[in-house]
Amino acid sequence: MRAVVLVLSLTALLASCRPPDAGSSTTGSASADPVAVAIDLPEAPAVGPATVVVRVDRDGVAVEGADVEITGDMTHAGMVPVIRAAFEASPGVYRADDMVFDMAGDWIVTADVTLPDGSTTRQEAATTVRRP
Amino acid sequence: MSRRVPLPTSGPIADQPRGPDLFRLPGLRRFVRWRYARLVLQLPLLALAVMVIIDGLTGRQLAPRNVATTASWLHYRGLVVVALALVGNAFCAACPLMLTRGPANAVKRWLPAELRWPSWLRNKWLVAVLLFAVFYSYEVFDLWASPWLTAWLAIAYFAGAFAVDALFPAGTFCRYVCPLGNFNFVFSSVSPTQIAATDPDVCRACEHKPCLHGRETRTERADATSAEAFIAADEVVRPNGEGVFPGCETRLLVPAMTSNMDCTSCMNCVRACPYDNVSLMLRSPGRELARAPWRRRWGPPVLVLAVLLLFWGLLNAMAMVPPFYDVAEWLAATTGSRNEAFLLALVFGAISLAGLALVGTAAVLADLAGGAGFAPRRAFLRWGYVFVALAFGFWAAHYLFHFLTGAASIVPVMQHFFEIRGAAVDPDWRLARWMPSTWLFPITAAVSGGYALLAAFLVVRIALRDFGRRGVAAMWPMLILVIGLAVFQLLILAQPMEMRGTVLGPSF
Repeated sequence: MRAVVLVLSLTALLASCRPPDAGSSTTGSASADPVAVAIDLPEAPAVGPATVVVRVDRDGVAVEGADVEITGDMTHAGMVPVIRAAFEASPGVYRADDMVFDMAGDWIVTADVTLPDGSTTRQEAATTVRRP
Repeated sequence: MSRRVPLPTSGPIADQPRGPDLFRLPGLRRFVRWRYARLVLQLPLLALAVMVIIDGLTGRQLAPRNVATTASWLHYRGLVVVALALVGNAFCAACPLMLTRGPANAVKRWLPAELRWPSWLRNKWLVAVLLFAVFYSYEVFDLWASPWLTAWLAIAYFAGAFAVDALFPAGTFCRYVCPLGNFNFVFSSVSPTQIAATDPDVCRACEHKPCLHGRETRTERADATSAEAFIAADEVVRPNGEGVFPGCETRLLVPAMTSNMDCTSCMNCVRACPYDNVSLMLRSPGRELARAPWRRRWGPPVLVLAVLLLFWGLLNAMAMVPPFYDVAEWLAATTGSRNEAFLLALVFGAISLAGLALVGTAAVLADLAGGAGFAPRRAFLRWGYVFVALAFGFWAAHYLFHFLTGAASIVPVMQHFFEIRGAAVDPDWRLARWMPSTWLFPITAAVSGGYALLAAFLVVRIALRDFGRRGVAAMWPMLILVIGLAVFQLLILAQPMEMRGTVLGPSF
């Protein structure tokens, strides 16, 4: 009986385990209060160059003067990431026009944002890159 | 204690390779006979396994940035095939799972009795089922993209090894359960080395067979503490210390070994042999397969497993190229289901059955052409070995592709492991590839093609061995199949690669 209870307890414990939150969604947005970061790919990405837009706001007010680095990682180990610095296209809107997705498949796009006050926040978004 | 094992009183005991003995390399024999040699090999892999589990459970859940996914799916697999092709079953030799043996033995003392592994499981069918489960889970759950699941897989392996070896005799897990080890066992049949008796006459005169049963060596018999055969210290040729030296846990007798199947390269036999009469012989990669080594010991299950490994290997690689996704869309439209687990089960089932049917048909046709009559089982047991070489070539090409694509990425991944835990390091994520991408296809095609040539060579050897002159006719059905599969393998390798987490459309 004790063995059964032990097995059931362990099963319940394992079932309650969850992986650390990867923070991914179709268009990622972070609400690491009070700063919100949203990643957007205006066009469905295909192999080749693509534009990535990152919007940063605090309580609905655009955050200007942030440093935004955008990284594209494939979901398979061993792939070199694509890393680009985004420029501020308009207040609170940061853009990288030269992201190059060099292989079709699943990608994780990460925006690492350094705010003017030096604090940092990160947001991830998942996307699938199509064949050309 | 003497447990006699009858050996022929004259002539060769078994057909073993007589090539150069690698233990003659300076320092190697001395190292291998050292009591802690295996532990030295296991500790680095244990440390890596601990990092896999820690980073997989607590690290960033991004496969290319995590030790779990990078070390498991890129480096372990890549280095396994390199070791199998160039040396032998090196990873079983350094297996950290076997470090659960100590705790398992401690638990065993508290149990009323050691259980016997059920006789109906003393074969390779369970291994085939577990290997299928691993490959199927890999596709359905995208294990390659999930550090968290990869860490749990590692934990499951440790838990499985511990539980099986706590309840059953040592070696049960390796022989009848471990999917990783049995993948290595099957493909170590093409490795260029094999354990063999240096002088069979020494084995013939050996009373206790310590290579199989183990021995205890002390200066005085009164100091002996175990049930192993006692051999006094002054009787040991090239003494390697006192204590208990376990024998082969997978029950292999060195002078009778004709195959690497079930040999974990633990080198217990080398340490236990009081006469220092165990060699690591060089041999040609096709030697073992040309001699039907599993006919008596394991029979059909292991050959079925080998053939399935070929077709699962093709599927594993096909799942990364565009035509496969088109087929999956067609299958979804035909069945009216977009359930990925269901569709993958269909694909796995279809390719497994088609593969066995294809090989079985070619084998029967070859036998008929050779005049052996219609006997499917016998034909399969004759020709199945050919596909071990073909399967290994393709697994090796596939794993090598990934390894060469991203081998250097282990450096920033390791840096990242320590960085996110407070160390002042700045990972250089540009490190990944070891060579220009234009080299990858020629290298992988050469590997795949090379083992396809070995498979063709085996066809010719088996045909001439079993059918004499009629072998010229018997070989053609098999040669046509081998050539067709080899061309198919090259076509897969030539496809642009696509890394998706689902077989149907965009996964996000």
